[in-house]
Amino acid sequence: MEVYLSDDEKLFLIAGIEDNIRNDGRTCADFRQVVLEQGVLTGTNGSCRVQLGHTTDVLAGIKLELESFDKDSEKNTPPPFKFFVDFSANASSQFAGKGGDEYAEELSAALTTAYSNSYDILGNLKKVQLADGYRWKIYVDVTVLQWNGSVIDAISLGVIGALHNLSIPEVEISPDDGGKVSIVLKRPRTGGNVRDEEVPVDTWKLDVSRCPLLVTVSKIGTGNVIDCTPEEETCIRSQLWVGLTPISNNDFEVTCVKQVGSGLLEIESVNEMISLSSGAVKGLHSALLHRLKTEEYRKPGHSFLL
Amino acid sequence: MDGRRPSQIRNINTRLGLNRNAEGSCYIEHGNTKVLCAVYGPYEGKASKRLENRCSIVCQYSATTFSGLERKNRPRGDRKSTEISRLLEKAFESVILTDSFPRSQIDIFCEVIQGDGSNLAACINAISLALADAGIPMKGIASAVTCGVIEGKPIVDLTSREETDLLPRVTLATISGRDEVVLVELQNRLHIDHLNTVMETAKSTCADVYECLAVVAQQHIRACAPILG
Amino acid sequence: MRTQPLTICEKTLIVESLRAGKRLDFRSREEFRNVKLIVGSEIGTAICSIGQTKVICAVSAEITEPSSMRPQKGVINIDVDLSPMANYSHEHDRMGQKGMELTRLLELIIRDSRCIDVESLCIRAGKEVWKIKVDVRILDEDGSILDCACLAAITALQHFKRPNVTLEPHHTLVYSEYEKSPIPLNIYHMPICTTIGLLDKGSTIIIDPTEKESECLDGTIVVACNKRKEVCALHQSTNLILTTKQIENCVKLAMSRAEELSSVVIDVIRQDQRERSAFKRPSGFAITSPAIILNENRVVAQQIRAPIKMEIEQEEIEEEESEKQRQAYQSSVIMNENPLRSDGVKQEEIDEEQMIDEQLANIQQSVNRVELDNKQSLDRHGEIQEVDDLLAGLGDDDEEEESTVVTLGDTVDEEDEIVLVAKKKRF
Repeated sequence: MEVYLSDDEKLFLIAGIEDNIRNDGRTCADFRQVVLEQGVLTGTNGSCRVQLGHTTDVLAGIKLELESFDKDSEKNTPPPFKFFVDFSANASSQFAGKGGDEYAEELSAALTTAYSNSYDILGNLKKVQLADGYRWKIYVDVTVLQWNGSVIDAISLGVIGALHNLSIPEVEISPDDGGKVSIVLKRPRTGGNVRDEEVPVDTWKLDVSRCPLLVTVSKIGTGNVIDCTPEEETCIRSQLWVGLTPISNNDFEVTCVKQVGSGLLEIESVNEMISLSSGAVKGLHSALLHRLKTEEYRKPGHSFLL
Repeated sequence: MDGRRPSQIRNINTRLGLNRNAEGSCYIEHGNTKVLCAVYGPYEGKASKRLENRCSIVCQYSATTFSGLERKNRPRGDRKSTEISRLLEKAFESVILTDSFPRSQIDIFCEVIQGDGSNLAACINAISLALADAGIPMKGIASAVTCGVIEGKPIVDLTSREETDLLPRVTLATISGRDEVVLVELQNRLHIDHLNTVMETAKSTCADVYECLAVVAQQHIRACAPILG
Repeated sequence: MRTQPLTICEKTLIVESLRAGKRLDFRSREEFRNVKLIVGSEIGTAICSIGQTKVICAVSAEITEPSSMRPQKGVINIDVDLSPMANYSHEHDRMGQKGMELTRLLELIIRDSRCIDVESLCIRAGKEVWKIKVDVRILDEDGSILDCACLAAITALQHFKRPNVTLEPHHTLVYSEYEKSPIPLNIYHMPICTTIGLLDKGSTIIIDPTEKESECLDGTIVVACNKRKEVCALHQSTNLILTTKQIENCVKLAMSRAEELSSVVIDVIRQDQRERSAFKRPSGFAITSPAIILNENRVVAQQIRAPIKMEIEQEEIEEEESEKQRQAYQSSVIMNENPLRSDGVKQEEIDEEQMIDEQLANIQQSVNRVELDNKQSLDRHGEIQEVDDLLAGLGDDDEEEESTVVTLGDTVDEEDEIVLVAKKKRF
């Protein structure tokens, strides 16, 4: 969606932001309303949908695949994640065809960097290594259904939601002939006439309390703004993606900083922007964790946009 | 397979007008098949695609990488999606009154969020509703259904589990439930003796689906009436 | 480059005449054009022509690794080339919408209808499988390309034989055709494609439309069927609205056509096999290559036998029809006789014989006359060629004819050589 603003409108926005007032009544450090739903897709191992300010709409789905790898060649096991971001043409006709691919590539690269040390941040991630040479490959696919600014914020929230929702099946590993292993899904023992396929598989979940959040911080006029609307994005000078990983309560570590688009930034203003984002993220993170804990699971077969 | 009768369709849930950027949009569910569709336009499109006497229609079909049973590598651009896009384009060129918008372009985007069989049919239904939401003049609301044959008996609205077999299946789209076929697509081999029954069943089911879609469209328009004035 | 659109006059003429049940090429609405099917001397090649539309298809095989999803199945790859050769609106190396549709439909018909047993193409599960490459080149385009391409591809696939292999513990041995006889493909059924044009919202059915006609039509419907009365593909290829009844009618039409054509394909293949088993040098495409007339050490310009071809072939086929009763015909040209015309054959036969005799006498004269002046107009050339072609076709056909031909002596020998030369050029 192309937004065209006149110079006067831009001036109005910029002046407002410099006074810490925004068009929709937020301050510079406020996020828009976030709606997060887990387990919306039955066809995936874990899924989550995030809506930011009613319009930016992101859907994340995770699929697991059993992968074999060469143990010797990979000394430092890379994270099992594979991120893929796709802009649906539904979001805006400019993403039709290959229109969104470049931007999507950038986004998935940022996610990969943010999760590069995921063995440290996800406490029990080691468990995906099943046996010598076998592990679960976690495909995290994000589709942007509607686009209205701050996509990366919504995507990072969506990924965390989906990871929290992800249920990885427990397996039984038994050595097989010729150094191979056989991997069987573990099912709880039930008597009676119930067939094996009908018993739900035992699953375990990842601990996502320390997952990185990515935030867009924009420099508009002299002020720094979080979570821009498309109108505001037309008058930004420069934009930063800041990846923040919680270390302990109320303490965050910057794991990824990336400048997006054109524009110049002084070192001081970079520091300013990062500190602003870490302040804003604290609130968001605690709200997210609360939401993840309290969200009641939906009935299966419930349609997710209704 | 899932407790339905052979001629019973899955539940259809719809929601219109949820995409604010687009002129018309629709979300439709056929059981577990979930499709999101947006319509942009008519607008002055690319010069290369402009036609002097009518508007050009551009469709794009994509399915999310996690939509199927197995993960796909690309959401679109493979042969199958391009083919479906072409099919949709052709079908809707005959549904939309293209003469009313010369030198313009209508974009139709379909996203299969979750695929559980009859994806093409669900897309057609979604597009029809999105076009109705956008207020683009059409000959009628197109409705579609996928119909298969098991042991000579037709079954409608197949799920992906049913589709994986060697089952012959026909996707048929008609306008307003009448005997006006805008799209017919056949997969696998179908014996000529079954053709008649399949066509008849598909046709009558299309009429049923049309009833559902028409109700939805009418409700939506009624709800919009106060806003439109 | 864009094609010139039809003028309005031309369009109305065609549409009006179609409505009146007449066509510019003197066919009725339900009449097919003549189909000519030739298999090449190389294994797995075929040329098919429907009227002016001409398609060549070559099938080859190589060993590749299968996809991880289907480790036990061979791969079938279909490649279509719509070169500027056929129609100058096509760009080189780029597939337009037409090409895409053509490729996709061919894939649908040949691969997705599972007519080839892909499991039998497996050598080593997950490691080595045969990859069958079907290359289709459109040589000339005049409507119903898909029908033609499909027929050519199916014939070529029927004709094709893959090399024999044996499995050793650590490697695979591939035999040449001299060591072990190659194995034909396992083909379950032959899908045959028919294009049916529709006019006036589908109320008028026009079969086998030419290029010009298809430009005037509302749309076409493509139906692929096989002999077992199964519909393999159904495709509404333009935006038109139909009733289910009309679709069913079209399918029935296509079905009867498919039965006819598949028997033709089988005949061609069987005949070729018979010839090959008799160690006869397969004549291949030589029959189709325009003969160069060499007279008194002077090469007369090559001429493509375009417009007259139809009639000649008509003659040829009728000739063959009559010969069929006497002996197994040997030319690998088989025409699909139009059922509507078949009753005329017997009467014409006699005339035909006479005509040929006349023509033979004619050519004898003209050949014996020292050389061809430039003044000798084009139709002269045409005629000579006509007869020469006839000779080429009849040469190894019939004893009676042979005797007449022998009287011609030198010319015929020369001609045979030329045919050979032409053939070498082709391969």
